[in-house]
Amino acid sequence: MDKLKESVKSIPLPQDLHKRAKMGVSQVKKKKEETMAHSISGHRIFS
Amino acid sequence: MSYIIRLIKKAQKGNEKAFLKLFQMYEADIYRMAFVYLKNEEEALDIVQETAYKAFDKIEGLKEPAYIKTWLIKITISSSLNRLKKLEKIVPMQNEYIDNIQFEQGDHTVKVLLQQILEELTSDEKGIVLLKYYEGYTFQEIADTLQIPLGTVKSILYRALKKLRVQVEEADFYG
Repeated sequence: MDKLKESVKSIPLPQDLHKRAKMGVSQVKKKKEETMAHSISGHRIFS
Repeated sequence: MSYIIRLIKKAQKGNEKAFLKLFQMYEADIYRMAFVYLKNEEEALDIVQETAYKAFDKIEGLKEPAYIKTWLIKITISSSLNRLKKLEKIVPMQNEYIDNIQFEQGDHTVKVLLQQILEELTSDEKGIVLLKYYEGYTFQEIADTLQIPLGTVKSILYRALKKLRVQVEEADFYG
């Protein structure tokens, strides 16, 4: 069964692996900033 | 583990650096799992990005920090299956991936076995083989993670190992 693990582990890791994780996190940050901006502008319209 | 818990608590408060440190511990496993499903480097990288996105977005709601890895794996599997469905609707998956991989190890049997896992197993079988032999989960943990009955986990794994022509120990399944 070790061969099964070994075979999956033999899949090489791309160099930009962590960069893609960072991109995912940046997307969340961007989404939250946009939501915040919308809620502020909405607040201004109704206040 | 307490270091991991500390990182989770910080990430739950929105600390990006803490989340990325945490994610880095699991990203290789996440990538390899996604690759087994999607058989393509770029698609697997998209799943890494999607998993990081979903996890950072929802980590505030993670109630059991001890299960962080299981939680990330669940996101990875579900994202990979969704992507697979979309891709299969557009164009049948190509089989050119394996020849393009530059293997670090020279073991031919390892390469052949990986090729079998990628090509011969269904998505259900891949998931269970990965959780059992790559992640080292128990049958019960696999059943809980994939939310399927214990008996189904065992029968799917039994079928997968027969396909891979790996020695099946009956006692492992029914003992």
